[in-house]
Amino acid sequence: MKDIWAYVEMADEKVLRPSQEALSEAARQGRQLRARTTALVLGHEIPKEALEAVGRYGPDRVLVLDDERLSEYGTEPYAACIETLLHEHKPDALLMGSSVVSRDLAPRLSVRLKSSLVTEATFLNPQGGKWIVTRSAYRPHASMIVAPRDEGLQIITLASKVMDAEEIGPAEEVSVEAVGGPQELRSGHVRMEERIREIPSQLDITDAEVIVAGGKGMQNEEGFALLDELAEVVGGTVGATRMAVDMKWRSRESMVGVTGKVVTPEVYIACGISGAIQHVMGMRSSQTILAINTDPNAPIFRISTLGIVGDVRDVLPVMIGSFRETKAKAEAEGGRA
Amino acid sequence: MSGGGPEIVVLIAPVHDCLNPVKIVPGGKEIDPSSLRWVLNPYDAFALEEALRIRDAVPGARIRVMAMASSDSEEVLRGCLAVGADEALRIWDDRMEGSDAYATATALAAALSREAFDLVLCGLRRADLEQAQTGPSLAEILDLPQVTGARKVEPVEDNTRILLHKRVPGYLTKLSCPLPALVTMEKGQVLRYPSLAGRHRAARAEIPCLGVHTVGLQEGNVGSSGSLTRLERFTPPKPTRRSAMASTAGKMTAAARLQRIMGGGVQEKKDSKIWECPDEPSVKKVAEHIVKEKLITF
Repeated sequence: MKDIWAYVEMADEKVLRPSQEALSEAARQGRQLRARTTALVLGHEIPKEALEAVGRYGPDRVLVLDDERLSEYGTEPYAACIETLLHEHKPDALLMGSSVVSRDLAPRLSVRLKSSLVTEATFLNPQGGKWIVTRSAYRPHASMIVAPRDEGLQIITLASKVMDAEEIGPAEEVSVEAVGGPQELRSGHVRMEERIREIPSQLDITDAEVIVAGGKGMQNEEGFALLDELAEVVGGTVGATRMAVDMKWRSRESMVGVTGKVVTPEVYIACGISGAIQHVMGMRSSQTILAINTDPNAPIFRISTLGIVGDVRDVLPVMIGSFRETKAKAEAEGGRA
Repeated sequence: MSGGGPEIVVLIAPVHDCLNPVKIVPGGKEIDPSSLRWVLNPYDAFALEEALRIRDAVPGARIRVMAMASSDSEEVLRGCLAVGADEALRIWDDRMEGSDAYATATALAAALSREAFDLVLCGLRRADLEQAQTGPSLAEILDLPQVTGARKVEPVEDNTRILLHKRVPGYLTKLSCPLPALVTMEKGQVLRYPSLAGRHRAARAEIPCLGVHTVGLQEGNVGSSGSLTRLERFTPPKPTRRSAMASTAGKMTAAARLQRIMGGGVQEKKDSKIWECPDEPSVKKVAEHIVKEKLITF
């Protein structure tokens, strides 16, 4: 295997998390197989800083296709451009992170190029010139191992947050090459009519990436004001246990659990929640769970990644203060850059 | 469009209800069929409900549901008729056994190209295999515009296009897409309950089944020979939660231990940390840890 590609999605000069994972995995596979790794960036007027950011994840080269028709994502022009480049350069693999874009694009590329596609990959095992891929199926009861049927390009999309994203440091020798797309580019059929920025605190909890949830330990409605404050700082949405909803501290909309909503956010901060099974069943698939509770034996600690034994009313103000400091610092730095 | 209102096709995938464990047959080549409990894919239920809502709003609209599925899961299609789909169609042939997402899309596309349609709706992905490929693959084969992961479909008066709501990170977008098109649904309204009359009608309905040749394909187009990937085997998953961190040398029987080892061993949950003293510095330490690990970014 000679050339491994990773497709890169960016926003505001930052490499998006799924693409960080794809770039890092490509680099790891490249090191192991002594293959070249290539980052592929599509867009319009991509700043130099953005390409430097890509370089930090260790690709040997960055291919950049800059075209004004690529300034917004569209299935048709993006698929056409990537198809042309894949035909021309014939890499062994194209890795993509798990995202709205890869979901839209990868199957179409696979059909166009008659290349195998495996989605939601959790492990890539190079064997005899191709990758044998492990992916989840019938979760949590099984996973499946899939191989491409033929030789040639393999398209693989990675499961979210399974493979590590690692910055290798400022790359000095990364070469940036500008490449051209197809001569004629069909513009997309789908047109954006409206785009509304979402406000995290007003999201439905099933859409939230960060949930700050409260239970009996919040004591009263004023306790929940602390959660609103925390949610505001971390860009989260407030959830509640059945107890808190029954006490009318929070509306039924925000109830997490078997009789409420089942949520799977990136981060779930459980405040004053003991972890009754009815609640846990609604949130245990969260990526990271931080629990704050006075009782060290509370069942919530058994499923949490991080835990603080203490009273939420003591802990939360300190935590909010600390996050505020970080946020202010990040904003100051962002302002300077 | 054929004379009357818009023709909507809803692609259905009967899936295994993952609340029930599956049994992997020794060797891992397949899942024991007796352990599979077929239900309507929850994402397809959003698609079907959206189709029913369009039909409620647009006079003359017609809904056909289509699935590539063996007769084991015919009941799922009957369920779709019971809630109000006008017709159901099954595509199956024993030669289709072992089709991957590409071969499935090929068969469905072949069946679809025999009919007139304005809108193809389906779920974003199938809940059991977690694949989100068939919809867009089929759109590519039929050269249709697509919107993946929509949440709402609004018909437009002249029926030449539709408006869609789709969530992308940080934004809610409203898109306009010309018809005919393919839309996959990420979320939506809860599927309505069947009426008694609907159930009766569904129980009596004839569900035709088309084979490989009837849809105009050859044996080589479907099954494993029509696929781009090959299933090597199914394996039991690695336990990942802390509750699974029991010592391997404990009270496990030899068989249970072997099963765990074959599943890839115990994977310890990373960074499982509990701080017991809630003084200011330690809370700050937790906050710093969260920032350092980029669990929350500012």
